[in-house]
Amino acid sequence: MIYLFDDRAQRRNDNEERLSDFSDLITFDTVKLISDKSADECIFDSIENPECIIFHKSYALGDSNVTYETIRQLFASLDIPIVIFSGGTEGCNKSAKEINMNADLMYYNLPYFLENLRENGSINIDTLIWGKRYRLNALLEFQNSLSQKYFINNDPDVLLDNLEKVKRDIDNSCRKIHEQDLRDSIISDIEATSQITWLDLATIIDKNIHKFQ
Amino acid sequence: MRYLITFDTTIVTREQASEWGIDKVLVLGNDITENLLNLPHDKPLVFFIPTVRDYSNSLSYNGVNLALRILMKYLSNGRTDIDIVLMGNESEANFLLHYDYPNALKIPSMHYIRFNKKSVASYELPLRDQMKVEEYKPFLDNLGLKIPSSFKSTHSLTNEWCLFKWNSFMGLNENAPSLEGYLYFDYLITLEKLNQIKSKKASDHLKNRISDIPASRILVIDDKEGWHRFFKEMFSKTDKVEVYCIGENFNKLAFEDIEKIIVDEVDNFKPDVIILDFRLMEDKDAEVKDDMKQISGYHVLAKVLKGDYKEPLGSFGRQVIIFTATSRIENILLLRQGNADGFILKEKAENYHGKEITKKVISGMLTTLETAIDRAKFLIPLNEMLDSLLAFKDTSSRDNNEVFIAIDMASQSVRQLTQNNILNEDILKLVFLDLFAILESLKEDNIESLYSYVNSEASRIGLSPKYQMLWYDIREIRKCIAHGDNIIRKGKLKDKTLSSTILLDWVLKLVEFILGFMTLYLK
Repeated sequence: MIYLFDDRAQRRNDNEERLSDFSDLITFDTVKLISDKSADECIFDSIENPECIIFHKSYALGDSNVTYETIRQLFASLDIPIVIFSGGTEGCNKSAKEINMNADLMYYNLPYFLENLRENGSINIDTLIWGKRYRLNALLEFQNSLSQKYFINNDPDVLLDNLEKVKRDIDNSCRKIHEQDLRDSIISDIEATSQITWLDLATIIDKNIHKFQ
Repeated sequence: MRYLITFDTTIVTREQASEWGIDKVLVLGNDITENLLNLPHDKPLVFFIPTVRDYSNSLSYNGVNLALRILMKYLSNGRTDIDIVLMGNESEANFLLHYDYPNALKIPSMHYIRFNKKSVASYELPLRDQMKVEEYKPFLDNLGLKIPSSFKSTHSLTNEWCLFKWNSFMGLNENAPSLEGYLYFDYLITLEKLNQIKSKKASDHLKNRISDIPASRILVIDDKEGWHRFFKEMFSKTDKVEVYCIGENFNKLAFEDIEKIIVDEVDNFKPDVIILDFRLMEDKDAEVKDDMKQISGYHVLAKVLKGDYKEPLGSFGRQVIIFTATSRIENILLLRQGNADGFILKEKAENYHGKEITKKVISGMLTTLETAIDRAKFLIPLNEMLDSLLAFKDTSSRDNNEVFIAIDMASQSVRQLTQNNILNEDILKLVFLDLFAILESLKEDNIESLYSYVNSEASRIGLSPKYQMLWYDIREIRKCIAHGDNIIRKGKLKDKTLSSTILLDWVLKLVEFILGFMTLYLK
């Protein structure tokens, strides 16, 4: 279950209604702090098997002893994707521990994120960050990483000297992003080129990114 | 000079400059800061900049955004001998498909090559004509830059932009947080610089006007601390105007707490003028869709500060000026219904460009404040004295019924004057007559016998000579109004025209006299 905590009642209610078809996947919740219970007891009592927490950064907690940092650290201990959204955040910033993103962007991409979860059975946080463009971002990340490894410092006109290693890298990278067709197409184009230079490799990857985006 | 900006020293190191055919490698965060304050000054300049800073956020193209910001920074400083070569890991065609602002490559100074050492080392800039700075404007407009999503509401975007523009124009708050890091604001700032925001002559003239503002107290109620700093610094050069600011934490408080804070601060500080932000609680106000009466600023205006002439609240006589970016006429009309005494309109980025409009807006703001202060100097003591008059009803016997009816009628007149805020001669004359009727209610007779009656009563009750001296001139003004005469015939004001200036002064003196007289008369 995904838990979304938003203290802006109107926004929360509107989105809960808009996404009512996904009520089996996401719960729109509020933080209920009780004076004779600790903050973590209150929070953990209200969530069950969380797969992802989405939390409003400026949540008005109403208790000076419990701050946003308190809540944030509680969630960090859960070892699941934590998304902190705020109207004051520009775009999106992804780090190892959490994702910070703009509130409007988060709500805009939320339906697609939930659809993807329903189809695939697992959380792909990139669909929340990028929406329908998450795949393009993954493809560009793949291209950028390969380019950094094999193109930036090599002479473009020189023939590849370690073709098998390059093919293995492409294979591994495409597996990570679940792009088997892309992998097959790139390898096929490489093998169809008799004498392949670094520029040829870059061009093949570029052409296939365009084809599969 | 050729510079390469690197975001990752594992890709390009400083020591590799000559391999890359460039003069120097600059590391972002070390050699170049995010706020671009320490850009090189050489002439001419070429920057090689990777399109992507962080591969996991490839679609952000933060390298290109940085490149555009650098270009606009130089343009803002009048430099056009700058070329930027974007280095991408994809073909130019794919880059144009994926990047949000593909028209960036139509800017004559912007170029694109593959991110490759040999390509960079052998790259020769295409020849191009030198352009004038203002010739870049259509290219920048053509980018179609979007308003940052973190400034989605008009309120926050306009606040940031207006603060920046007004601070820049007036040469205030040099260390105020800038709008750095937002491409859209860099674009606006570049446009303004092309129009030259700062105008020393104009801002000096306005600063001189500020020093002529009469002694007064201004309370600023706004959730944005930037406006607190702006108003404090704007009035810091004169010791006649005291400025006090509240509201920076209102977004986090419950409305009941905000009400109490405002009432307490008004009681303590006793401002002449209150500058009130229309959207005091940004988050809650953002949820209001249709009923604008739910907006926090309106609620404070109508239900906490002003009320109306039938049920006036504690700040009824104080001048409440609404500070807003709204251009919606229905909001302005609503605020007028709530008895706002004036407006200061914030400049919206999409509507206002150039220093002329800033000069007009700030000048208009000073005029609004000057008028409000003048009005407050009359309406606040008038309403306070009226409250004292009305308090007589609670303490005196029923035998003075006619007097109390006259006081009620005068109070209606004064309250309506306060609400309508039209202080012209004709209205002031009517108010004078309504107040004078309180004295007439003591004795139903002509003015001369009333004059003798009041004279003798004044002696009997021991009214101080100061008040007794007022009485003669009050009578003369009363006669003047009743006869439709413009010139006062007798007394201290002999031969003076019965202007609104004299009436403003003598309405207050009349109420003072009535209060002094009635206090002793009704004992």
